[in-house]
Amino acid sequence: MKDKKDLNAQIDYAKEIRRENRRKFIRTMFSRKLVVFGAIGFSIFLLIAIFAPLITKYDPSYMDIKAILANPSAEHWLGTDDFGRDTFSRLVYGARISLIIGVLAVSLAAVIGISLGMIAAYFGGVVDQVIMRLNEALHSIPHIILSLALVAVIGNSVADLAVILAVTTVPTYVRMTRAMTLNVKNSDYVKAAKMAGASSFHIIIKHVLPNIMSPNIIMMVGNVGSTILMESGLSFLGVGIKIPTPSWGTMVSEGRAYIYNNPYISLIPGLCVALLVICLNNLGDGVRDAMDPRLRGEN
Amino acid sequence: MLKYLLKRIGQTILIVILVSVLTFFLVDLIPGDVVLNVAGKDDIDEAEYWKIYYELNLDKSTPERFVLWLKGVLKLDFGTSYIYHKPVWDLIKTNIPPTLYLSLLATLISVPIGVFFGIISAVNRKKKSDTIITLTANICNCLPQFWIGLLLTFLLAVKLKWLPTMGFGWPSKVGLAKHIKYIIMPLICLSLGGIAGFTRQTRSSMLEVIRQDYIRTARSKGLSKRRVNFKHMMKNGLIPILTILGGRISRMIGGSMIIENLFAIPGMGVLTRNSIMAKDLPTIQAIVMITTAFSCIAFLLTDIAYMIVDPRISLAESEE
Repeated sequence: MKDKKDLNAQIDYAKEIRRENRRKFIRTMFSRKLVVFGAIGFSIFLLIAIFAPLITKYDPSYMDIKAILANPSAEHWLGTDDFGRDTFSRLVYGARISLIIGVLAVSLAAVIGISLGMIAAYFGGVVDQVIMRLNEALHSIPHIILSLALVAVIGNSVADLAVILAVTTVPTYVRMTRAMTLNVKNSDYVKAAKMAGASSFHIIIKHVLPNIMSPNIIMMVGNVGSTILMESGLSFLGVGIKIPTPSWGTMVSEGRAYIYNNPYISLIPGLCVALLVICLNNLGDGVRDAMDPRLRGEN
Repeated sequence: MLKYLLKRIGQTILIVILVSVLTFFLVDLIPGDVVLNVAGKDDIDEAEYWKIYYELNLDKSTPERFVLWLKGVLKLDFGTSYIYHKPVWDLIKTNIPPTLYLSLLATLISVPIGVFFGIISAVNRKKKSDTIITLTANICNCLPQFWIGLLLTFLLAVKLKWLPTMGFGWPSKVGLAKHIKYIIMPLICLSLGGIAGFTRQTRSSMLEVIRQDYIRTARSKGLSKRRVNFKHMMKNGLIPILTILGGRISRMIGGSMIIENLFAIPGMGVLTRNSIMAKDLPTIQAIVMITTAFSCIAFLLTDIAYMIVDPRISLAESEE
């Protein structure tokens, strides 16, 4: 009876510590004003993306032939573009596309990159050589050229672009994961697990993975921003997301022709890209502060 | 040192070979008939079909095809462009000078400015100037280059009418004054990211050095702060800048792809965009190979420079 009481007390204590750690994590994460700014900004973008149909009544690809290149009015808050599409609606739905592509591409890149990095480091030898050499080859092609070539080959739907942008980011994850797995591999607990007869799969999932996750998570948060930046660049070149899907980069490139009469058509979508990326990067700094205290205050 | 050098050169050659394999199979990745893909249209007559078929050596086995293609590449023969109807290498030859010129010039501009701001920021750590510089660098790092370009066009060309909205010309053709007017905006767009990158790198590597024992020793010997800053810190703090130089040059070439399209500069960017739009595969393959080769050379040269400046690196590497 007494034992059970002790056990319960211990469980409660462990829970309390976990709660305290979580509180500490949140507190360190938001200890800087810029991070709070980033978090608020990002939440706003996220809400806009989720509730896009509630914010605007227009379909972003609906062409109102009677209102081509209309000036801002009560009907069309930011006017319309050269196809009579409501600029504000396209802006709102553009947030959705940017975030979907950013998150999808980074998750894909992280899953592939972390798996390959762990496999390379854990098994070593030929496997390591093959993975790392191919990885270096992929990394040495300038990212934008690689994604452009892949667009020509694969296509430019939202899913295609997520895959393409993932391919260009994979090498960084492979490299970092490999270096960290090499450290973990020589640790006593991995050796102990091996001696206890654990399978390679079990060791990789249960012992290696949890120990290499935090720098990867830090990198993932940071990468969402740069991926969005890259997507907007591709769309700006006219080889990004297929028309008529509303993408901020495409809007900038389409609005370019009207810079004399209505510069806002092209300047505002670009500003949105910049703001979203700034928010994401500041949020990423907060995650880094909380997860890796050694890096705090550096850039 | 020689061992490390040879190892690095070997690695670079291996990478270029691997990239050439990847590039070669790019054609085979596209679903559908290779010939029709290369031709870029479906309705070609039989004679044309077989012409392309034999040009691509499709009657031979894949390894044979690769060897033949690679032999051509080594002789800078990338085949014929299907939209320009010219040898691809001729297209590249005429388009590459503006791209290389702008990316190298932008790198040359961003290194000193970035290092300057980085040092100021590190020396005044946690003071107002540091906060402002770091914040600005972080923001500049997030701005899309095409948007900076558009903003500059709007301000400097449309509103103030100081600069032409787009175009390009070499000094020998249009005169130096006009040439400078053409390249100001593209250079600002390309350099801004570079300046931000170098500022951040300089700051963090300088802060790394500040913590070292020899800095404390130098200060406790009674050397002035200024002397320590310039003699001891800069010597060691600036070495890591070299490591990111190669990556930056590669990124500058990439950034140039976008900027050239914005300012209608007849460089690789415009060629790339047109060939992607038309799925002109021989040209795309050549562009991938050549830009990769340039970025590999940039990486190799910065590594060699790094090795000369800091011999510890080659020692550590060859002991591996």
